[in-house]
Amino acid sequence: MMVLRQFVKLTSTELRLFQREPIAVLFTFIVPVFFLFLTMEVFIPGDAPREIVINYVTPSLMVLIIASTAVFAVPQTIVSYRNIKFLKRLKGSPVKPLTILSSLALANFIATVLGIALLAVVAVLVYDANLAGSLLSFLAGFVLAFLSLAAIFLFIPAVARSERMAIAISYIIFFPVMFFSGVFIPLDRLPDWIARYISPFIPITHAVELMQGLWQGNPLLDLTREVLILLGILCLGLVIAARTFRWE
Amino acid sequence: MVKTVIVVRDLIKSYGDLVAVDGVSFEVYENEIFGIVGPNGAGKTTLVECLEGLRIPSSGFIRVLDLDPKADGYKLRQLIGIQLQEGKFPDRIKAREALELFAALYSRSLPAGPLLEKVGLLDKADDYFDSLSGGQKQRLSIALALVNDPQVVFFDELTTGLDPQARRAMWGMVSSTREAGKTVILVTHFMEEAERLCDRVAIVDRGRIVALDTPANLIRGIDGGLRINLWLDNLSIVTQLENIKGCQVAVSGQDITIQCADDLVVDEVKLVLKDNNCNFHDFTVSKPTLEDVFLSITGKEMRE
Repeated sequence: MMVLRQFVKLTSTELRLFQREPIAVLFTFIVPVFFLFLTMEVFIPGDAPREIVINYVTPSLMVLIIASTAVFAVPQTIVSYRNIKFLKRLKGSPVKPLTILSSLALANFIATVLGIALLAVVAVLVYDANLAGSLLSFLAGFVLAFLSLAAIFLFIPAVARSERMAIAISYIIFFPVMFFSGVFIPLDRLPDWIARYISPFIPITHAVELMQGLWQGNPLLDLTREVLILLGILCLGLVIAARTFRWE
Repeated sequence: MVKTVIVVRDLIKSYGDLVAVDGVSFEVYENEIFGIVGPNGAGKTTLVECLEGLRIPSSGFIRVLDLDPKADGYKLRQLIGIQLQEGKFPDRIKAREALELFAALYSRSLPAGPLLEKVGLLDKADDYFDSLSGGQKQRLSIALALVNDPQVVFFDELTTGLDPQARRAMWGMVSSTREAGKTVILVTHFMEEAERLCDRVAIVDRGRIVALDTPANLIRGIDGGLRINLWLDNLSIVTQLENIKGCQVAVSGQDITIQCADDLVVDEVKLVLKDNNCNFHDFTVSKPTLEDVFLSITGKEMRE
């Protein structure tokens, strides 16, 4: 009971702090919807079939939301809390380290879910996006994508000593990755050598493949490869984090 | 019979070749304010963090409230309050929210309102942490250290970086914490603070306790006598002053420092000055302080 009460309070406090961070709110709620609008109103070629484009863009932008949580929000929060000794102070109270970390993960997960829900509502209501696959397997794929990306980018707080350094690393990773992983540009439009030798080694690429496949109605069985790769990334991320995580 | 709340025996904490705490033993009694003082880098923080269970000692024996911080960490943390050196909180957390958060982490906790009132932050309850002044942040960290109504409270460099007025306010809060029946461990590099507040003081230098006693006994122990400082117009009197028994004179320009064995010697110095119709000003007599104790024990100044 005690653990549950700690967990709920830590999570709700973290959520409250999240919504007071303008940048996090911007990237989770505003930017994805803006990109959706931009794609559908500005960038879309006149002869392009709108229903195909919207059903490509919607799952891609969902991965953008997951990635901004995984690459920016979670690592920045950890580095900041570590630098101000807030993590250490929490550890000095009767709370288990796992409770602290899982509450941080859940709060970011909830924020991501809300961002994705907002994007989905706009995509469906304004641009007639259509989830062709089953909602349940789509949600399962989303949870997997979130967990593996959140886990693998925990290497950022392990490497970064200061908040400035963490922000620099996040930016250096984020933008190239967004272009080479199929979020902004479909993989088949990228130069062949990038699509073949770079994209497959970016974890986010596999999240994009999975989310797009599920959104467009491919059965989960056809996506086994992506699921296994993401599970592998999740395990790798957790092992690295467990070995390198620093409380101070 | 005084109850012992902390027992430390032969505590060693090393990081590779660096020995931060080098064989420390002491006891802390119930309801005292126990000072751990010494220069920066002496190992004070490492020492208390071993007591708090935040660091695992390399070797040695620790009991806090009869609990082993390593083996019974969770149980112990219910009973102690912690304020960390340079510990801060997220910028956008409100004072009341921080208290409510930590209250939820303990099985027994005090309501936020009265705690905020106690540390004089009731009107700041809904202000963000980053909008509080340095003193207000430290008040909040005191309130957070008291949120579980602990039996033992650790304050680490509570007043560092604060202006004198805020510092005095902190001192009042440390005293009232003890008056509320708690035992207080006060880590500071500020000797005046230790001298004023602490019942007993452990002086730490290079990971060792070099002296441990009440501030009064420590000061009496160094046999420093009294010190006179004054500004002399005419230095011709100096030789005569040097001839007074129990008197050591140091001249720096026209600033004179005279180390006197006792009150009688001070009177004699005054008499000599008067008899010779000397022109002097800024005459002060001071007792030795813990700073002098540190100097006499370790042979170096507290601040370099």
